[in-house]
Amino acid sequence: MITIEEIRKEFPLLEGLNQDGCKLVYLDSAATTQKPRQVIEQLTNYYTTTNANIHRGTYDLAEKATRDFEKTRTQIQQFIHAEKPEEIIFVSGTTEAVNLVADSYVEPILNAGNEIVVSAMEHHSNLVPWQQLCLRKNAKMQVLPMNEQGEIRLEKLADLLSGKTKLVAVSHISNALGTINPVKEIVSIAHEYGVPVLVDGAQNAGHHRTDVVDLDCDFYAFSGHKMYGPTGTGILYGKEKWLEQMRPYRYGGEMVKAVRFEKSSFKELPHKFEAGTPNIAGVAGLQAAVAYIENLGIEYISEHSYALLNYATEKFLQIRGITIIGQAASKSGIISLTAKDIHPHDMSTFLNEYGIAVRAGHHCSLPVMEFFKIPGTTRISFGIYNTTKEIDYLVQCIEKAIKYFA
Amino acid sequence: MQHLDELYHSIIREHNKNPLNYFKNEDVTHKIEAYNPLCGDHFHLYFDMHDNRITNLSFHGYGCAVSKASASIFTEKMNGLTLDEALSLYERFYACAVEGKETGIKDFLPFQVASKFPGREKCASLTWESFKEYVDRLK
Repeated sequence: MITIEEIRKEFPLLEGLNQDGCKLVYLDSAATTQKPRQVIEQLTNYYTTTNANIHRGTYDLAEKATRDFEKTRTQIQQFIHAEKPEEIIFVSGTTEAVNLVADSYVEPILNAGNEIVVSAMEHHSNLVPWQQLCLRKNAKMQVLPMNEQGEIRLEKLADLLSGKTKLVAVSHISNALGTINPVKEIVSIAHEYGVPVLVDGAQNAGHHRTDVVDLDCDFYAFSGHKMYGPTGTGILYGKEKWLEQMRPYRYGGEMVKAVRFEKSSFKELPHKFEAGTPNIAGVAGLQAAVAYIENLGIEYISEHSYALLNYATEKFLQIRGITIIGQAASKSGIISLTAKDIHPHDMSTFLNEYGIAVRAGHHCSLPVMEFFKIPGTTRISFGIYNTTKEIDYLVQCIEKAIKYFA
Repeated sequence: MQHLDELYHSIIREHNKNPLNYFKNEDVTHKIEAYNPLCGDHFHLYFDMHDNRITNLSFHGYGCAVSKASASIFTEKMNGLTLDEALSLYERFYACAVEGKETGIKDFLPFQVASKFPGREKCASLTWESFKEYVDRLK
């Protein structure tokens, strides 16, 4: 079994030294993960050996670029256990995936007085698109509440569903609190009312097993850069029956069959959603990221996340003045905390001086902060490369900060 | 620790712990909201203005050590100034906290380094900028 120390060696950025000659302690993987050498090299490799536009060339190089691109689609289909590669749409990230569903699936069926349900712990990216759509269409956004532990109040869901509901949008894991939501149950309840469900899987994919068929969700959105892949890559999974009936999202080249001045006809799935030249190099990098994850084993990665979560939570509970925001029974490797009355930005600036990178602020989840009546938190989030030694060091430094600002 | 102490200078730490003029005062002629949605810092500034002279300054709200200390110093330094004098002091604070220039005002010194810390550019200037925007709208 590969050790975490060996894994760390595969991440060049973690091996380098900062301006003060210290190694970086990177604890902001929920924002974006660091990239293993395999991914970085794949990007270079793509540009040095394969670069050509896809789906249109009649020469060997273009053929290879197209083949590799489509092979990645199949690889991702298998990675998330989807039924068909056509159900995998390449997008720029979770945000675009959500906007695509808002624009192409929900908007045409959403009438005045209809409703969309979101949870109380959504990232702005799975909240603002729905809110704006509802405003445009004079529809209503209903909020599925959470409790003081930061858990969705599942028993309230059925009350919010009716013939007027057109979609439920919920995160698999809360980026601000770390809560793992009971997505399978949510889908099952929503389906009883005939309502499809979109899952924001940005914090789950690549960190825990993702099985869209088992969840039975209708859409699943995630980003490549939060799972060791390049920025600017992302996936929208959608059940074929929905994708088929949806209108295209962007119009242009590559997604059309025939174009005349009067009208155009569009390609079949998945290409009708992929207008223009996609992020081919990014997708090549994403292929390497998925291969990297599969090589380590998603169970191994997932176990490591839980181990760090439990270790760190226990340590934090021992520090006087620390409050963990979000104490759900089921959590991933994300911990939000407040330390006495120290402002999260003062805390993160302090930790930065010791070479520790954490996130401070509202984490693009202002309604969550409002719920807990706090302006922000210091967020620690783990990747496969983090160690318990780093957590010990973090704890020491947080204790120092509490003394410093006392 | 050299680096940190430059930012969290004793002046900033003292004003953060014991801010001056830190109270709500709804009986004044002017109330300004200073809000930075990026970090959640949110203050209200209160003052009277009669015949273009600013008095009775106070502030209340939530913010980091730097923004709180800066607001505290704002209420102290602006007290009794005419609007023109206040704007001129704003210019000197801006030169120091945003442009990193020497101003010769001792209390402004710790804010000179604040703008050099990653992600902390706005902390020092939040209340000052909000005041300037408000006054510009008055004109």
